[in-house]
Amino acid sequence: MKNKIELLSPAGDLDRLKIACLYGADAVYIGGRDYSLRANAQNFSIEEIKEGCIFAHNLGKKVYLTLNIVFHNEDIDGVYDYIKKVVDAGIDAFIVSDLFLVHYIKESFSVEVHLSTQDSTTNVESVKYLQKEGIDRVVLAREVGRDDIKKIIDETGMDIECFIHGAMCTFYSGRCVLSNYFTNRDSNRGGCAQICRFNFTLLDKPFTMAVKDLNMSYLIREMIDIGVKSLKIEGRMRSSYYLATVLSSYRTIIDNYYNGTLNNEIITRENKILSRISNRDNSTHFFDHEADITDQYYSGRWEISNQDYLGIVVDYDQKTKLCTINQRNYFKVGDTIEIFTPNRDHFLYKVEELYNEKMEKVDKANHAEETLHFYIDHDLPLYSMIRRYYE
Amino acid sequence: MKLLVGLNKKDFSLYLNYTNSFIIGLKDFSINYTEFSLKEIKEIREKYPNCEIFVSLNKNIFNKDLEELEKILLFLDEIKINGILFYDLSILSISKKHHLSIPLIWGQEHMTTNYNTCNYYLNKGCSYVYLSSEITKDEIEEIKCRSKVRLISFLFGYPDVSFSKRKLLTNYFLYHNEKMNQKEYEIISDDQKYLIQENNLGTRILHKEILNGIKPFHDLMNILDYAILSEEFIEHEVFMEVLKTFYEFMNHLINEDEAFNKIKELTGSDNTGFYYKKTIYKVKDEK
Repeated sequence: MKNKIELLSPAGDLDRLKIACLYGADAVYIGGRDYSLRANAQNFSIEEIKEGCIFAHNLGKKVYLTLNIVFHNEDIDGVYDYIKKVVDAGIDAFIVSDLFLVHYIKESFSVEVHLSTQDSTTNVESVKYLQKEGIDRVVLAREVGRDDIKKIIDETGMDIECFIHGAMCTFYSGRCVLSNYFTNRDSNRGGCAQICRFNFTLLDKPFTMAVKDLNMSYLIREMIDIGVKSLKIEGRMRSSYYLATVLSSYRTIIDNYYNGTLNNEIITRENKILSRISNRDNSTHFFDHEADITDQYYSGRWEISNQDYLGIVVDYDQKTKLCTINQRNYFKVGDTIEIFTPNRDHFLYKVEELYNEKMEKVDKANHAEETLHFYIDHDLPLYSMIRRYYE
Repeated sequence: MKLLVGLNKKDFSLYLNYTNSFIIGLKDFSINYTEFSLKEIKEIREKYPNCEIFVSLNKNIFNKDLEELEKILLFLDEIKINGILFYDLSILSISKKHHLSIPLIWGQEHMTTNYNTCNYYLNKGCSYVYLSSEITKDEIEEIKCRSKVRLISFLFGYPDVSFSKRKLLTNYFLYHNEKMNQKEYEIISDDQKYLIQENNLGTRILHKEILNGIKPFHDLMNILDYAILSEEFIEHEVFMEVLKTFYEFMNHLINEDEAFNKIKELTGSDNTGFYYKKTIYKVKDEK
């Protein structure tokens, strides 16, 4: 059997790193508190990176650290010390965009260097150049289609990573500084204010260039077949529930592919779950066609808020069968809820009784982040998720 | 410092009173500057042997472009063009493969932001870097102190902001079932105006506030090797006055205030871009 493709998840903090690892990621990418393109995510301290690496490595998973800002002079001085510290903390690879870092990292440490999508790599010759520079993996531009990906893999043998799910940029990554001009926030140093999602006017009519999200669930088979090494999910700012849901779906698709049991029924079922978690419409964008009129929005508000996430299991007492959850959205006694676990166990449950923190009976869960309890005769691991059930 | 003009008219002679350095585009391989064909480039090379001609090949290169790109680079090397401004690393790769002598300008326009990366490209054989328009004068001065690479910066014109492979205007007009009958449009949000233009390579956005770079021109006079003045989207007569003003200022025929005010009068702009305005890195510092 060929090497199994990697499922790569974002993780905005330590909790989400653990959830990503438990819900099926083979590797996670995280940002430190410096030099990462999501400057406003919580991100990881050195101690947290160390703890995250130990947790991931114990499960046989990898941790990649983003170092993908476009450096200004003032960012350079501290970076070498920082690199040493995070290598010592146990990371497996750096994701960089500035090429001056590559030689230093490769000559000083035995960790991989991946080139960020920020560099918009789109062709065989560029990948050959990067190969000579010592880059171990290239995250291709999101504008590269199936045939070009295949040609790059066939002609270079480079490890190639492609995005499969999440928000898309309207412009080539690294080739957009709208945020700098509009808000003085530096797009290429983690300050992107997503100006491409703002409403504009053109000839006094509404104009928007906002694009739909990426969803490659129907094309995973093809991506594996052409030799992509790693499938990347976007979103270090995404919630634990989002990650658990998206990872579970793609894990199911990938595992079924390798087991020889993948069929359209499974993909359709997982795609329905993925559609529910998304707050925008989806498209495959450039992989199987040139992005066109169907891949973007033109006017009005297009994002919907999602209240499917009802809670997360924070404790389960096997003796008393008492489950403790942290509530996220409203539900009530009598509702049927859907529970899914890191073991990919998945079932429905009718809420007969509900208790508050003091074990007083309540009839509804309507306080965000409230601790609640119910009895259930089903072993529920930590970080099991509860979502709304629709018949 | 020399004035490097991105011209609208293909007739170089119109500009020769003030400069003999030009930057041009090549059809289907450039996302800005006036597009010439290879034949036209050869003709102007022969007609103006004393002019410096730089060609911008700054599109994102895909596999289908590589064969043609290789021929183009060999051709431009043979006719001794003065430099190629590139975005995609394939140009560096092909240039090395063929041991081309044509000078290369690393021009990933928003990513040329620090001395270490400038030195990296210098060591890879690039003669020049085209600095990001989003860095400050102080940063440019530090780059000059810590790198021997020759520096080019954008000092007049509408600044490039974004480039997409998507056909954003075609899609918009198709969606609204209307005809696209202008070459470029203006889009506005929160009183901020941008130019949007589409061609066969994709869609480009420019800030609709002309950069009036006289002050940084003065401050960086001994630091930059070339100042790019772009005529794009500007009336020829206005641009010629601007070019003349830069020329006169450079030759001490007028002072800085006179030059700045003249350009402000001509263009309505006193915008100095990011030369004196640092961008925010982190919105909330969590250290």
